[in-house]
Amino acid sequence: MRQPFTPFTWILATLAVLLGTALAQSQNAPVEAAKLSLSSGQFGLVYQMFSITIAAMGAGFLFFVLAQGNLSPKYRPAMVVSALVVAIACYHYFRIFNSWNESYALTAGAYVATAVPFNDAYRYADWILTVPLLLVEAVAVLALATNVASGMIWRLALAAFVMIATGYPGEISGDTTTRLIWGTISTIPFIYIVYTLFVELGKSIDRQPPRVQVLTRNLRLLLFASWGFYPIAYLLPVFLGGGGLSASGVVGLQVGYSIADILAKVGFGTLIYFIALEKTAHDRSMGVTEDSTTPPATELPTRPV
Amino acid sequence: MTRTETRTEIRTEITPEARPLFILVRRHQGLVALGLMLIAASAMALDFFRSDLLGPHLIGLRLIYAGIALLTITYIWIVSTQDAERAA
Repeated sequence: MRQPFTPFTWILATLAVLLGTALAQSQNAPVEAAKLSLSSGQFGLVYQMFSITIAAMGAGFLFFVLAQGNLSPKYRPAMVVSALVVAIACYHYFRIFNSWNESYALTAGAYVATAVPFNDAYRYADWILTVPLLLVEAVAVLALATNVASGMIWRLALAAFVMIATGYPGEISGDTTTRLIWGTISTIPFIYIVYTLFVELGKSIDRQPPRVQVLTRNLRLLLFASWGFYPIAYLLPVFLGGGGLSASGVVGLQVGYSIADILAKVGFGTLIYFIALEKTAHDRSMGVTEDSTTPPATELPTRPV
Repeated sequence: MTRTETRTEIRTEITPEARPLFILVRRHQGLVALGLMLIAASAMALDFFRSDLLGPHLIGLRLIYAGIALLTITYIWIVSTQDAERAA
């Protein structure tokens, strides 16, 4: 049964976004750059990681735009979403990369922070848009034309908004306790999302054509690996910083998030593409009309007799 | 026929699938997708040229993005679950 989704729920989500930002601002976000000095290796690692991520996102955008012609029309919206996600991420990484370069200057063999603080807000602004879309595209491709999918799309999107809004105050805080408190709050919707997707993908495996089953299993693994990386990266400054901000913690955080973003956006989108490609071939072999969103009989959920 | 009966009749006739907006989105999926991409591109252009208008911690950009995310999710919801009731 489709669950009712009232405007109140969305007002709640908007308030969560505003509250997260307001709280972050009230903490007088510490200017991490002002305290840190990085070695050439540390600065260069993050620099290269951002460059690779920009290249991966740009290549992903071209691929998703050009490859969608291979798919049946009903799977193309998912590729549009993939293309949108990586294009937006590409732009934000470009901004993050520029901010990183402005934040540090080479002085006496070390990269010392300049007066310009590193702007991490772009990462969270990016996630506000891209994370809900990633969740939706997975549901759109794998659980087409079910009432479960319809309700799930909105629940996952709402959980994603709350997760990102509550994660931000902790992210920009230099205080370990604040970071852990907001991290814990943010973990609640995070677990809900991962659990829901993992369980729903598991349920949909049996309904998929044989070749798609393998890809769906891989998608579950990738989902677990890439999404599991975010909380680890979030906690790296705590583990490596010894209670405060440290160069290793900042570098670990940026490298970790970049790897997770490549996996979760480009990797996830590519797997979605291959699943859609297999399903397109399957639909054609079953004689399903190209523009129909009704899945072939093999994909319909089994109903109790 | 009483007024209440007339109201009920109208409500049951207009199913979500038959709403003009839904039909329009389904018929012109490519154009709608292009429109969404243009809106996202405009938001990024706004950030690139006038990020000073977006407030501290990019709150303005986040709200714009949240709006674009809602529009895109609605688009996916309409095109991917369009005949869910018929299939179920």
